[in-house]
Amino acid sequence: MLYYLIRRSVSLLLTLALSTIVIFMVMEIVPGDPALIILGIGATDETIAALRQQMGLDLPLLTRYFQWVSGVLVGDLGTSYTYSVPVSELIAERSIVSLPLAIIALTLSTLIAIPTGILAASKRGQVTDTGIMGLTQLGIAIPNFWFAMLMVYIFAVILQWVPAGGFPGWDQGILAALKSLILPAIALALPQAAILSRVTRSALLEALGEDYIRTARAKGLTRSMVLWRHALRNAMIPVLTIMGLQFAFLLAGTIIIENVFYLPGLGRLIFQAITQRDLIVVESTVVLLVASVILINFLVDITYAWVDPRLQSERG
Amino acid sequence: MLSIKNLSLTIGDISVLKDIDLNIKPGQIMGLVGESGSGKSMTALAVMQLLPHASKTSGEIRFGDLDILNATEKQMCNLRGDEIGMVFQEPMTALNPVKTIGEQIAEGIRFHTGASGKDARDQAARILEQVGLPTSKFGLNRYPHELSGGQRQRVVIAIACAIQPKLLIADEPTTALDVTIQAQILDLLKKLVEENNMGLLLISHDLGVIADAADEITIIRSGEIIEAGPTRDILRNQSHPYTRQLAKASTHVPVRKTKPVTALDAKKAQTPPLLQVTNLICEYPTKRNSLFEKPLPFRAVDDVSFDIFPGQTLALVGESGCGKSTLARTLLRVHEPHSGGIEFEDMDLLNSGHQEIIAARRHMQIVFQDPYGSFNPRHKVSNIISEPMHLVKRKIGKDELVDALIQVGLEANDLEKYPHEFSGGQRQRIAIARALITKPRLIIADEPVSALDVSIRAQILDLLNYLRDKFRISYLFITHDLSVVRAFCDDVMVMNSGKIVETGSVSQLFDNPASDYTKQLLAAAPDLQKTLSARNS
Repeated sequence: MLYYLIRRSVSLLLTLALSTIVIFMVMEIVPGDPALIILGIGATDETIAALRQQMGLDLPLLTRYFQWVSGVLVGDLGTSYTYSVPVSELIAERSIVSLPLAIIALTLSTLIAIPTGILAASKRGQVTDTGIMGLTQLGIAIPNFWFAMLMVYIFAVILQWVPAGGFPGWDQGILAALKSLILPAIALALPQAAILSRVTRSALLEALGEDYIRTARAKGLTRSMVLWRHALRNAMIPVLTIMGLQFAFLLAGTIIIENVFYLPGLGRLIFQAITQRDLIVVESTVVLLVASVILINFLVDITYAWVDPRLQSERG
Repeated sequence: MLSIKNLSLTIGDISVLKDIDLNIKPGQIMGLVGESGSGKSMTALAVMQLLPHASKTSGEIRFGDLDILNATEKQMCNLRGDEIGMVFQEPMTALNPVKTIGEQIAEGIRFHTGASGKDARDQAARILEQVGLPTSKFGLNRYPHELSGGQRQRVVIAIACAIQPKLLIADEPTTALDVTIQAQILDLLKKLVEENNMGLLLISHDLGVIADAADEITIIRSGEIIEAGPTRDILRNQSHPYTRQLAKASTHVPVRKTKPVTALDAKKAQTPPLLQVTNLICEYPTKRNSLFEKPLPFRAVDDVSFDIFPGQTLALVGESGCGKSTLARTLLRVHEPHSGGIEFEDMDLLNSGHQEIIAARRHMQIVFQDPYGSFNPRHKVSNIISEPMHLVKRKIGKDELVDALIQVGLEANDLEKYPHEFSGGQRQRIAIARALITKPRLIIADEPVSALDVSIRAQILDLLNYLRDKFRISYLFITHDLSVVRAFCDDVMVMNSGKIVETGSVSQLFDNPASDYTKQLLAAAPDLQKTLSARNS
């Protein structure tokens, strides 16, 4: 197990290092000079050169890369060109919206998906199964922004239980903040839940067809005991894989929903930064997102080994 | 104790069992023999009421006072694992990979006796000791993947016998195991029957296994009982034609028209060898245990040398994992050897160019154990058979394909069919036709008859024999089944842990084995003839 952990950690660090290089290179290649954008088209060559020097843009590529990476390592992400505030502050401000949103959405989706998936698998071919599978088809097919707008109309406009958009900030009380996050979380969670539910069902059904299930039945265990004690843990690997992917998506891929609900999240921050050529913000946010995705995958890998002891001794 | 009367079973519209009668008394071993698809396993599953969906049963199954066909699911759950235990064929997949063996044995004990976790674990340790896995060496917290196939089968038996069932059903319990392990598992089952006065329903396709172990025998074919009675009488009298056919097929010896070619004779006649292997070593990288040391490679084939002469059939026997298949793959150069030499028809295969190797491959073909796995399911038979023709770089005419099919006993119109339309034996014929199409001089046959029923096995051996008589083909015949070696081969090589431990002609090696390992193998192999004559005397 220790060896497995060490191996995974080494690969985690290598992937992180590699990703910073790739991100840095891509940002170098993308057209658009930040100094020019800040100063506007009317700027003279001298002022642009001066600003470039001030921003360190005239230094060699390698030097700039190491300056940037060493800054990232100590939490100094630089200063945004457009907002003129430290990028770390910007990201922190947005993360307190995006992170809770992602966590709530993932929790909701798991809470819906796993039980329905198990229920569908245990009632395979019966009305419950076909009903649940039909609903998941709908969940996957309906675009989440459309569903979001529908919910806004019902719960915010007609019933007026929750605000239609915006985020009051956590200092206005947890309840108020949660109220404004709940609709976007549901809108994000439903399609994810639909996918996860289908994955859970098919993984369980596959596990239930294995030989060891027959052994367990021959031991005298009832159908449901076999499902809970033997099939479920074996079915967890594909379910965990999908959950890992979904969490990564929920952190960064929420821009449409953030726009529908007018939430100041990370997705919108990146979008704005890209349109304004605020490279330093884009770079730092993307690095953080990539790092969290890699970290989530690392956690998923460790959970795999915990679920399936064979992986701990697998040759690599 | 168990009495089955007029049991019939249909699944969907297909009739699987018809009027089965079977009785087992305490302390008795009942052997149920039949070929694949005969309904052996379905009979067992009917007793356990673990039949697939859409099954309809009629008749009567009584276990003690319980009418099993009309029992509730709750009654059956109480019965399974408590009064009736069951052991399955495939030990590699019969255990849950994510639970320790201790948990898996204790689970049934807790369910049936309501014992505490600790008591159940103690009991599990005792039963593991009884099946030959002492907890000092095989702790309860081991996972299945840390055990070998034979050890896993012992765990499965431990689960089935955890609370001393009155009846144990063992469905092909040794089919997936090596002969020496098979002998151990059969001994263990016999010991459990004796110690616990348990009834045992032993299901097998192998008449040798049943003849050795069972008191009574029931022979089943296409869901109907052909013959039943005391093993000794049934097998001695062989009054029913099917029984005779089974016994004959199990001990079938193809009639060879040409003289056997042994290495000794060939050397005397100064025939040059077709294939010459010298000091071959193959290695696999192993798992790294430390960050700082490079792991030692695993030596799968260790300094192996041998010759194959034209027309010779050389058997390569050994238990699973001994390096047989690695050796075969290296000869075909699918796997690169670490060192050594392979010469085929005076050509150095290891140091030749690509073109020359292709030319050599034409004369060297392979037949696998599982033909279905080696066919592309979306290819027609004509495509499958003509596949090796790229080696000869010429288009093949339809009449040549038809000839190849007829040679292996198939028909011309089979060319347009797909692999799934054939039975296992027919598929093996297609595989042989594919090997024959380039007119090879050597065929490497890797367990070619192991997956086949005895009657089909006899037919395929006859076919291989016919081809060797007609085309003077040499075979490297890889197998774990010593009865096939004796019936079909000229010389034998015995392999153990990558090394050749003994080589000789079939008669010499079987009658006067020199190495301990060969003696051990021979003693463990079930031999129908020997068992019968021993039982008769």
